[in-house]
Amino acid sequence: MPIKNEFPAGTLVMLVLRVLQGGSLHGYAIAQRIRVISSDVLRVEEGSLYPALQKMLIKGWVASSWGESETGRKVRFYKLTAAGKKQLKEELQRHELVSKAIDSVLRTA
Amino acid sequence: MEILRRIWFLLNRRRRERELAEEMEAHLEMMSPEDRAAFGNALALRENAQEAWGWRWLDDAWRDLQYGVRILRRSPGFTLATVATLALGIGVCLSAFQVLNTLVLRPLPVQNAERIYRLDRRAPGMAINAFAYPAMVFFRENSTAFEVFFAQLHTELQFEDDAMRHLQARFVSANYFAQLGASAAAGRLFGPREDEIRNSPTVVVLGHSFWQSRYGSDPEIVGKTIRVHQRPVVVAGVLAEEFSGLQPSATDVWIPLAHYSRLMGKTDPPGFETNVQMFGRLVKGSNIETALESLKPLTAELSARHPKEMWEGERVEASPAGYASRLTRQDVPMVAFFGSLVLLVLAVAGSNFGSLLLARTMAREREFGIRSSLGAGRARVFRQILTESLLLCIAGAGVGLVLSLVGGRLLLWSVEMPQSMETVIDWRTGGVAATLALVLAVIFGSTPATHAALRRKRTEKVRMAMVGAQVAATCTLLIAAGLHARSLQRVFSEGPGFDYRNVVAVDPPGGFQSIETAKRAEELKRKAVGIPGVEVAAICSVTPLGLSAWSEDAGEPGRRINAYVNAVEPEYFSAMRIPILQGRKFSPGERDAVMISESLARKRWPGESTIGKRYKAGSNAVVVGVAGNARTQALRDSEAVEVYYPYREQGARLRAGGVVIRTALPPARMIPVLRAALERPTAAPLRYMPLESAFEEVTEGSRKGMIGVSIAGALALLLAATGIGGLVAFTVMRRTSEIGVRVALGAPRASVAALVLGKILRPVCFGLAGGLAGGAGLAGLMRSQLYGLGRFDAGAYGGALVVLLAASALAATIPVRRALALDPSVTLKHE
Repeated sequence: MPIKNEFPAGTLVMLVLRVLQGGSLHGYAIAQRIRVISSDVLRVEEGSLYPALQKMLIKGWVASSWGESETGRKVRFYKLTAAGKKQLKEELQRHELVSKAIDSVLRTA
Repeated sequence: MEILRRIWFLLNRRRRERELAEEMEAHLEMMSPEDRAAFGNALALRENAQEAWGWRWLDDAWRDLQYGVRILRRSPGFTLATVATLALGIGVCLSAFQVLNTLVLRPLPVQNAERIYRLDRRAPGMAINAFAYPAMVFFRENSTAFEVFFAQLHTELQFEDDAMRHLQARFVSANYFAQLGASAAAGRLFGPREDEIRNSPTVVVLGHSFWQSRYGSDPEIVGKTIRVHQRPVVVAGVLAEEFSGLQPSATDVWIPLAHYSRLMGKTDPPGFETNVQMFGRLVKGSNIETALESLKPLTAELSARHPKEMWEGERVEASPAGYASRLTRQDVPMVAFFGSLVLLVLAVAGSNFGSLLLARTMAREREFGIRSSLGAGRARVFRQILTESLLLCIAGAGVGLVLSLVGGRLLLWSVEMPQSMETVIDWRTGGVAATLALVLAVIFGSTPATHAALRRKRTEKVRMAMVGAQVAATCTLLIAAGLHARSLQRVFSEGPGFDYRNVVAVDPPGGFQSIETAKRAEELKRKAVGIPGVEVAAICSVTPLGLSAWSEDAGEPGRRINAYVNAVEPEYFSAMRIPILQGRKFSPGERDAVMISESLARKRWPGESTIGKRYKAGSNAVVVGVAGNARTQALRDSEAVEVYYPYREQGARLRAGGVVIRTALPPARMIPVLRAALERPTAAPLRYMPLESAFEEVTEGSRKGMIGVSIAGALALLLAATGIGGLVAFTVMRRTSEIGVRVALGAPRASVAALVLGKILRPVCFGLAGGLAGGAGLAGLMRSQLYGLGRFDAGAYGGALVVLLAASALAATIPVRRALALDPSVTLKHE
């Protein structure tokens, strides 16, 4: 069953950065990709996606350029920057740390 | 880096917004139909996304501003009242700042003001801000550190045949006008020609105000001959209005310095008896220390050539001359005092403003209720009110700036600055105005803003506090004004210690400054005594109430007492009617004797007899007599201390300054008689100064200063009275129905009035208490100006209390009477 907006706080940015690691995508494609790979569990809402993207632009983690979509429509593509790669690495490390910690508590407590 | 990106986004805002809209539209199109429905409000989503840019606060501020302007326009009465109050308070502040700005902060309107220095002579125990004429010439010819030297000499000269009135004359070097960038309003100014004396008559330049008042700005005066100091001179031109020269003071006529001797009726160039003020302009890029160093060998050579005229260990010091005035450490108490006065007026105006704003805010209850129900947070409402407060303060500051041009000019006039010193609005005044607006808006706007945001209904306490503050500030101001007035009253009712009526001081312009001309003083005195109508005549080295003063340290080792010194003949005390309190006057032939004033006797030897005591360590002089205090050199300083040396016996060291003549008839009758008897046709003309006129001139200045303080007090009183009246009106309004009920039930009007007025009694009393304390504190600052008055003068404090209570009572009774006069049935309906 698709769970609406089950994003743990702060993970959206990390997921978008990870997705973009595979190459430039436009907004809709990013949302689609996350949805597909997570087997429809994680659905990105537009209301969350675009604020997140704008924030990442301001912070310099992604860069944007205009191009054409598969259907020939003018869309904005997002690309991971060097700073973005660094940020992704940091967030992955932190995520791993936190997940392990949660697992330990759940297993042994 | 991130902040740069934010700014970039802000600058390209429109484009970014468009791109985002397009992007989301594309996203929408690509979605499947059932998902589309869940997309949400596009506009809201866009706005959310844009928040990430971080400029939301800017949008909000702009909206607040627009809203504020609309609201203020809708209640013009309120807006006008607040802006007027603020303009008054800020205007007073800015006027005072204008004085500081014009005198101290702004450079004089001369070229290269920052490179110009005034040169002074200093030696251990001696100081004078002038150089002898030959010394000035020597420096000018031999110094390379300064690219230009200026010299000037102030004096008073007779104009045409008017015996009573003198012209303010300034002798200046020929390069003065050209190098300082002066321009002519008519005719021409001095050129290099004026540095030499030829057979052609002396040319002069008229001062602008003098030209206006005496000649009605008639350009035909150029080229005409007038008589100055009984010599014919030709008017070459008129100086432009805005030029003040160095060390501004009102000048009626400007004369080339090279012609000084000629005007005085001598053929030789001026010698060491003539002192001039000397200024130098540094060579670009050099500094004053190296320049002064380079003058040392020149000073040494001068001392070698003229050992008698120069002092031991003499050196040259410099102070910047590019500004009208300088603040020294001694000025700090006075500046602090006036600063406090001004701030007090500002505080009163500000609390008035706060009260008005608070009342208005309370009346807008409904508006805030609607806004908060629509989702406005408390912070938003707070910001809104603060924005309105800021708008009002900015408007008030703007009007205040304009007022300060006039106010500043008035203040400058009251300290006798010449017309040419203008007040302008420059970046400094603008900066101060903006800062004041900001500070007032925050301090006095935050309370109403907090009240509005927190939807508080009970504002009475705050308003009371504000009234209390106003009363306190006004009380302090009134006390200050009262103290000032009383001390002046004391000074001039006590008398300066000598009798200035029927006394004339006679001297040639510049004094008898060399030994040879001291003989002339003797001759004058001899002749004067023989004139019928003359009672006493005496020579002294410092003319009373004159332009010069001479002081030395009259204290003990480790304790400095500044004393005004004069070398006088024994008849001086009779001429000036200064009483001898102890001992006697000088005897003929007595060399090592001094006489001191009673104030010095009290300070050095309190409770003992001073006769026979040694005057100072290292001197053989012994005190032979104690005279009453006579403030001949510093009229306004009641702490002044005098020391007298015997003129005849110390003649080698001490020069003659003038002859003091006491006459049986008033000066107006006696001066023509004196002139006829004392002046030979070929001698240099003399100056006759009735001491009474000089005395009046000095007191005039103090009177003007008093006016300023009184005006401040009156303004504050007006503002405070308005504040009190407003508070009472407010209270009455809120309790109108209660008043109606009481009156209908038969309560005597007096008791109802007492009920209402009783409420404001507390803040007023607290305010008075605070004001009294503040007044005492301020009196401490004023100490140097409270001549002869204790800090706690009953008259001043009592007077302030009475005036304030009367004004408060008057302001308060008006609204109460109106309320009581209303028909109870009307008041009962007022819900």
